[in-house]
Amino acid sequence: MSFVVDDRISQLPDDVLVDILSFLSLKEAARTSVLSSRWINLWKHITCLDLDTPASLKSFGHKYVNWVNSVIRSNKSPTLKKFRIRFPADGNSITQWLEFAFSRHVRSLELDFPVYYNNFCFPNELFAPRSNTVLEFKSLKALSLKRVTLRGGEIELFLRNCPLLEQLIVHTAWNIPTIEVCGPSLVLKHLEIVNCTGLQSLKVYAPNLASLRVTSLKGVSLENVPMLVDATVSCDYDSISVKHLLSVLSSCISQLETLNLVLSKSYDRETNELYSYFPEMPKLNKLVIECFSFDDQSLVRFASLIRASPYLQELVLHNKRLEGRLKHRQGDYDAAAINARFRHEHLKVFRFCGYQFCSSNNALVRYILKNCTVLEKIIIDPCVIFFYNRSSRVMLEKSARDVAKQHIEPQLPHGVELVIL
Amino acid sequence: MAAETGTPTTLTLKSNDDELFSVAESAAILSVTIRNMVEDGCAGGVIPLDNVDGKTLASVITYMNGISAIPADEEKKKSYRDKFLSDKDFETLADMVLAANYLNMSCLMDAVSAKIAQVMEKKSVGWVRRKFGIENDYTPEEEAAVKEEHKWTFEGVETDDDN
Repeated sequence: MSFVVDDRISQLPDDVLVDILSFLSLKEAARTSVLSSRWINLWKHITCLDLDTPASLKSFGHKYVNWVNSVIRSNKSPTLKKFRIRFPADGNSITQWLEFAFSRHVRSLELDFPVYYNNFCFPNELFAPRSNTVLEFKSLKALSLKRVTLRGGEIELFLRNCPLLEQLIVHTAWNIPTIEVCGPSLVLKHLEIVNCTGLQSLKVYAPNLASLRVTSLKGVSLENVPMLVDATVSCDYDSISVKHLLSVLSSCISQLETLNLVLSKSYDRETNELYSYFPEMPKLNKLVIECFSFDDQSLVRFASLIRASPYLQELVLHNKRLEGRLKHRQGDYDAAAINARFRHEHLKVFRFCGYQFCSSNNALVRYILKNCTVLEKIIIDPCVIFFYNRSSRVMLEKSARDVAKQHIEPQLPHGVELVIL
Repeated sequence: MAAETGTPTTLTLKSNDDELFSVAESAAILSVTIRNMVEDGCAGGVIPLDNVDGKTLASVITYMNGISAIPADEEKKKSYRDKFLSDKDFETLADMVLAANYLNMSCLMDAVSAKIAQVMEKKSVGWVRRKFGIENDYTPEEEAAVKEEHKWTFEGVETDDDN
């Protein structure tokens, strides 16, 4: 944008300018009061309050809390679209800010502390009936709690008091033992429970749930989720087997349209065979697999997943190879699976992140090129390699690019485009 | 409506400088203002849009057609919006935000507002004034007083000389 001569922006109506300022953090919005007298009060009407963290906590910490308190007193907006707290203030202040948010019928509430915050426990008494102020919980549609200490019961209180809640995100709540997201009238559409390492049990009974993301399947039970189409599940932080994964997903696997699997379990023969038990996923059109491998492990086990998803259109594989010498495991991947011919008539795009020149990687590429008859594009992205130092990573990535061009290009069937990132 | 008859319905929109545009109903109803007219049965003839000029309306219609051609994929829609707005100067953005406000098109309104906000972010007061031609009508004492009130909001601001 070039410089503007006349003061067109100040001529925009108040509500438009307030909308523009609502896209700035509170600090940025407040600073516009210095522009001219036209701007002095506009920011007090913004409906998205993003209480960002001052960079210099030491000199501003206490003053910041006072400043936020005065901002809250002067905010004129009767309803809030969004309220986000990122500053680890004292518990009393945060509780007051939450009361403010609910007194203004907040629609989206986010607590996102920079580090796991032990000094603040979510105040369950927020929901207790009170005489002095009226808090309105029924407007809340989205709730996100990141690095907030939860003792248990908070989520259930939210679900009971906020009947319109559509999105619920809980990240890094280490001490919460159980979560129950259950109710026949829940309108919840999106649920994310990530890195809650102490969680023993997560029960979900949510008739409108469309997407789910969990990083642990320990103690997870899914019931009555007829609308669930998008699932991200992980066998990452526990040694849960594919068998368990399948039993957790059994009630919904056939209705999924997008499945994102995060697998960390190192290769073993048992796991390899279990993949062939994957039931048919007739609605699946996008499959994303993230896996970690230590050496030249077979990737062809994923061929069974492709076969189980006859209408799959897009396959994304993130192969995150850990540092270590590349050991070839001849024999693991040239099993019957890889040679069996079948026709996949829908897969159009295959994105391979972390491609390396080794027999298992090449076998999978060959398998897809051979059997997926309508493939349009194969994208090779060599950059997902962990733990290597920078110079060797750059070198490895370069050689992976060279080798992909040299090795894959001659195999390309007519009409398939090779993209190397 | 279109889905029932099988033939796409076309609406005719008229700008405040009397230009006529036809647009598929399915794209036009991204505007809640137009959708309400269609639902109330007032969209039979020409729909006059008294607050939008022809140049802006043409641009808004390009957006309506582009965004409604993208299936329900928020990522793709976002990248379309980014691309659509990438070459627009501030005058055009200001016209567009007013049109989006009048037409009640929240997705366009939000995208343009976010883009204007982005220009201000982390910039000094002097820079923003020059960029948008904002006239400072404070006395030096008044300005100092407002600054003092929000002192901490000046940390992390980019230096003035970046253009």
